[in-house]
Amino acid sequence: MKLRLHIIYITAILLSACSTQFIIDSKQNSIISVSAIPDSLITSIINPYKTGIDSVMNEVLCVSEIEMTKGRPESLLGNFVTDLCLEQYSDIADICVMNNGGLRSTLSKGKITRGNIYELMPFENELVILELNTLELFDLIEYIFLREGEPFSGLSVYSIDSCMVLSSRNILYRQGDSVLMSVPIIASSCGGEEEVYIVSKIEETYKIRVLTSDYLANGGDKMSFFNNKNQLKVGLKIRDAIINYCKSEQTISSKLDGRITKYQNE
Amino acid sequence: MNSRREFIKRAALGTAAMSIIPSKAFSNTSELKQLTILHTNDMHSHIHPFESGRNKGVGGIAQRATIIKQIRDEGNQVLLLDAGDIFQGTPYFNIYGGELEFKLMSEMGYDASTIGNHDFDNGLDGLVRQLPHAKFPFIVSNYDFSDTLMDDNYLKYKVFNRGGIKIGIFGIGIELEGLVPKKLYGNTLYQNPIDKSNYYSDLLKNSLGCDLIICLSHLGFKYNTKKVSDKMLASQTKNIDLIIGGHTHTFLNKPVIVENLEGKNVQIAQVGYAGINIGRIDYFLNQKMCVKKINSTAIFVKKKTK
Repeated sequence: MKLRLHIIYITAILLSACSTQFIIDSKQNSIISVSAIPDSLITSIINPYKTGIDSVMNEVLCVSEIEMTKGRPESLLGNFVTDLCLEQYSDIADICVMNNGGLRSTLSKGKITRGNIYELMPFENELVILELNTLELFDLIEYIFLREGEPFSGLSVYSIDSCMVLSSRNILYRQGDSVLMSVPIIASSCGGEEEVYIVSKIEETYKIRVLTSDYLANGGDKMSFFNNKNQLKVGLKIRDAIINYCKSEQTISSKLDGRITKYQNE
Repeated sequence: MNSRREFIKRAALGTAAMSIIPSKAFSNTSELKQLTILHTNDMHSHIHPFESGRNKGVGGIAQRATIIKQIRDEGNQVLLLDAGDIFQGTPYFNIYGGELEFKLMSEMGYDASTIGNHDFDNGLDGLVRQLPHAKFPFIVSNYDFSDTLMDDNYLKYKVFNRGGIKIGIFGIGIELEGLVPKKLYGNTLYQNPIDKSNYYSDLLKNSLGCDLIICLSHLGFKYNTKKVSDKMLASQTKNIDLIIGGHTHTFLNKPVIVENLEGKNVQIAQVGYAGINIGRIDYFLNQKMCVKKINSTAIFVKKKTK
């Protein structure tokens, strides 16, 4: 120990100017918790702003039966937001996709105020609808798996190694302009299985209408399958979609339903 | 030796419980100059302590101000820095556009901040409109704003003098494409973080003779991909002593140490988000301005309950 210290000492002398090779002692790190009263000057600056905020944001919109947090692969909060958005536009959209990063806070159990929804969705992002063909839909699903889950609604997906399968729980495909039909199961890159045939068969004629945010549609989070698509603006911010839903429902809830699953081959 | 260290550690923890001056307990040589770096990141318009959830009663800008004042009252040289994403996260931003955040940071004596991706959320004009409320500079070295409204409203670097210690600060922003809508960042040009860091840290260290080089970074702590992060930046550059990071909302309970291109230690610090914590790093320098000791303290800000 002493010898080592001597060597360090001599080395330090030999280096002419400052070397940043100082010795960082891990024992000189600490974590402390400090309880503080609010600074009065800072509080006096905040107060007039707070009055303005409170008058608008303290309005109670609804009551949540549970605490909803975001997360991967699926989450109570992600399911809540995408389900309610899709529900409002189910006549003109087949699925809804958002991004986990865009959900900015937790919804607590109990009273939900307008301010809580602003904290959940502070962005001014608007809902848009764009159309993907079947192969682009698979790109989207592959993206979701690569990200280990992003919020979506309107379909269930599962993967077994490189094989990716969508099951058709809710998804409806349009044929032409008006006829809706449900496809039982479609699969991608599963190697010679019957489902692959279905993909190639529907690819040319089916379009999947995706409800998402203009942020993602315009290249946010690198969802490249949305590049250069015509966007239909529905004329509603995501935040307002959530606020409208909360006001109309009075009581809100959410559940995990296994809409995304990854099976490991044994 | 070991038992003595244990003793010192316990004594220091005892001090920490009573006050927020743990560093003084270690300061055994009075000739060393002490510089206290305080840092925050990703405060995201959080003004009040959290009212619910797992962070209930934690944070609060008025509480933070009290703690910062107490630290200033210790009488050491202080630099108060932020690593960006001041904007966006509470209705204060939606309604007032960041005016209050900048006013409060100015009142608290922030010395500098870099620019995070969410600071573009009301567009460049939205940011520029609030700048009169900020009495501290925005430092970013790898965004070229020359063809935008931000031109003349930011610094590439700044040298601070604190009690004879020269601290060179530059800033690094994250790639905007794919993260921020183009219409918000306009003609801002993103430039290579590693190239710009090497250029400005060399300038600050070797041409301007700074004793400490600090990078305010909004790159993010680390990624599983090849995306450039603070860890990558630290290992592929020279001359940086400390990276104060943000973006990934990573809470590091102590600075992470990474070897740079020359095998020297770089510290990377980041303290979560929303003003839940203040990071404190105390540098002790000798008369030749050589760093002899570094202490770090992660300070959790809590609301005092009566």
